[in-house]
Amino acid sequence: MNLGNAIQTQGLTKRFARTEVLRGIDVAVPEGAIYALVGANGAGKTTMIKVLMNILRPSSGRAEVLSGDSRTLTGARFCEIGYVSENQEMPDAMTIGAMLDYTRPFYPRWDRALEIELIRQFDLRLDRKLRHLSRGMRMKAAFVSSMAYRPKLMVLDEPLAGLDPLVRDELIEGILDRAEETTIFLSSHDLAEIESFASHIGFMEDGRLLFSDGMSAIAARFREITIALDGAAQLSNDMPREWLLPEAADHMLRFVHTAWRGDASERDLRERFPAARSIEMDPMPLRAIFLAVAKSGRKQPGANPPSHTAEKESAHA
Amino acid sequence: MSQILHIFRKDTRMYWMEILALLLALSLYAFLYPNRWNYSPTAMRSQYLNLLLPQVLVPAACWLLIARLIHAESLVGDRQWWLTRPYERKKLLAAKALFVAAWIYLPFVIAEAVILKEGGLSPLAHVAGWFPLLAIASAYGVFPLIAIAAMTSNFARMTLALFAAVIVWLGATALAFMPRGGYESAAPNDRSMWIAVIVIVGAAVATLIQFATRRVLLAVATGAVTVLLATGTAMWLTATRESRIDRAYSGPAASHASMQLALAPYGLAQVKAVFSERPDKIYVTVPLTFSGVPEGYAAQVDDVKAALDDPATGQHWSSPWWTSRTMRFLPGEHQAQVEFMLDRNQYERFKPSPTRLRLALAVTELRAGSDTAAALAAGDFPVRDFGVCSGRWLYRFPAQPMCRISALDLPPLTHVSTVWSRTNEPDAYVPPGPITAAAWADTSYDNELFLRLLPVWPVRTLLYPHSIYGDLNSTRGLELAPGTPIHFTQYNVTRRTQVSLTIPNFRLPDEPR
Repeated sequence: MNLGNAIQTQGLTKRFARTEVLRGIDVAVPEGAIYALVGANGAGKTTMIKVLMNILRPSSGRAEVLSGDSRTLTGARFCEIGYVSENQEMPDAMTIGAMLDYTRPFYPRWDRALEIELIRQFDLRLDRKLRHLSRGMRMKAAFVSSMAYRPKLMVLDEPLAGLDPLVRDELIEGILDRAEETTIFLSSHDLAEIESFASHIGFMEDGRLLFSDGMSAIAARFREITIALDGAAQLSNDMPREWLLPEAADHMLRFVHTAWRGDASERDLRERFPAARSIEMDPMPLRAIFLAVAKSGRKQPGANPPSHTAEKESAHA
Repeated sequence: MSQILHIFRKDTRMYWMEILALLLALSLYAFLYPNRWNYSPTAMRSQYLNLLLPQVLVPAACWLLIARLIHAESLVGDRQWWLTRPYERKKLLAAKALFVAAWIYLPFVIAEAVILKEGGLSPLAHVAGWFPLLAIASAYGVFPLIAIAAMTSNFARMTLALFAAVIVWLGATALAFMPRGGYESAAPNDRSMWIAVIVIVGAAVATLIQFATRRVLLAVATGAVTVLLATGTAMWLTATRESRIDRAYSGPAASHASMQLALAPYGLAQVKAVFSERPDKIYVTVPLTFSGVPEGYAAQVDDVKAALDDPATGQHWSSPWWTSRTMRFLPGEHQAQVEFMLDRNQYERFKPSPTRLRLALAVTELRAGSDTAAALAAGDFPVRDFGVCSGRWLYRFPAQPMCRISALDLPPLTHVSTVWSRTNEPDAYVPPGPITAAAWADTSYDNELFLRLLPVWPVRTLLYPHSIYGDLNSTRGLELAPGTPIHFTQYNVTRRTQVSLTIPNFRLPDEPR
């Protein structure tokens, strides 16, 4: 296992009876990153997070969280981890104030000033019972109780799902305020809500991690290639693995290049298609990249689309 | 330690209403239970509530409190808030144990101590006596409830699981006792505590598994194994009951005069057969005489076993060991109405012709020990090594001291006796000589485990001169004045043996009544 990673997994697998929910996940989340695990509902994101948090035990493989085996994650080790989940059961009979009063003594590094600041920032009323709160207010209360002790790692499972834009912005602001001192690992099924602030992205589908990398690396590595040929375009069997979703129509050949290396890749293309009338190499928006990777995975069931472990990259690079 | 106390304080604050409900139920129990010996019209009216409280309300309040306590940090599921907080599992378990000790066991012990005190008995006189009492409360209440709560995620599921467990338990009990066909034995059954031990250990292990690993299937499997083991043990104890009674009552013959059983004069003519409360069972009563109890001893007939043989047809029937009522005899010759029970179809089979009846009595021999004399008083008067008695009159019976004994320190079987005084009423005829009255202070229901939870047992002793007056209304010329000495003689078990009698030409009555 590499040092410098807040989370690292190797061949992580989770089965429920005969259903394999996680299929050999390898991921590394660098310290200081804002890592967004993206995927459709049912992709396995929540299961992965629950395995990381030792709520569920892995069927095979290994996961390390803050340099310790996830299966031993218990007790005092949670003093360094903040966990918020959209479907978490809270101590509903308590008021926000009572919940914070109860939670505080568990954490030696609880920062009372930060707690007060967060309460003010999120506009929370301490005398309100948790069971009477709206979804957004509950999430805010959960955030305060998970941030006030300045955890080294924040794990957020669909924290923004179903929230109105105002609350969502408030929470994102709260997350970003903490980003300098914390590694943030969050899951979401909505790319739009995380692409503005995530530094790293992993994409899951059907229990597999289809790719995982830094945002800038992903943007640099994917290109939509359109080649105009003199004759009729045809798909050949010897196309490289990095070319996803190849399509041939009339004189046009289109595909997604997943290992773009700039000029070197362009030279390779021109050598491969010397008779090409034109070659267009367009950068892709994140959404298009995910769609391409997802479609590619679905067309080849059982095949693992190109997966890339996130390189060490500064969260703010 | 701070985390234990922190969780304990939180639980106490959150569940103060449930705690209050249990404390109220226990307070009501402690307040009303003394009515079992304070016979007054008001007290009699509360008898129903008096039974309802310890049997229903207190367990229900416990159930609610334990469910809330354990489900506050539910061990089943993957969405609980506490799972990703710095809880130390051992400390969580310790906090819950502290809560149960502080808000269930302690109030229960206090309520029991208050009842003992109210009964004039000392709660501290026999400290070791608290352990079996608490063990029974744990085995048949607290521990299984905690284990079921630990294996379920909420109150509704716990309720369903509890009902399922109760149904399984009732079914298993019925299954276990089915082979005895309704024959109850009064012979001591010390091994019934094994089931309590199995339940306590099984429930504790299932709870520990849940707190340590949260592996629900493993914990449920442990619970199921416990139920199976307890059921199997109950069935095995029932299946081996006969041979164990045979072994227990096979004491050596005494060096002194041996006890004998004989048919009473005109006994065969006075054999009676009556239907029991169940139409398929018939009680047959045979008048016998019991004699040969040595001086300074007593004999207690615990069980009866009967066997019928029809030499003409070669048919044979025998009953298991069974009791309908306990009989006790002092030295001398005594009439004994020995009763056995048989099925209606067996009765019809053996009725037509003379049969050979063999009766065996399981007899406990007891030797007289300490004798304590206490002066009868209108109110309470303590009796050393026994309990507290009260000379209050009951209804029209003039002499029925109601005594209370402590379940923490049950005295041996005690014989109570006194001598009535003459009042010199001019018209009253009183035979010459001392007019004695005696009774056994019956504590024979100590086999009932549930009764061990009740701290004070009322014991009635009717000191009426039966031998002289058949009619309870007629005691003219006699009185039991305050200050009359009452003797309490304790009898200790020396051996268990069998006394038998064979009646060759026995005939069952033509028609049962």
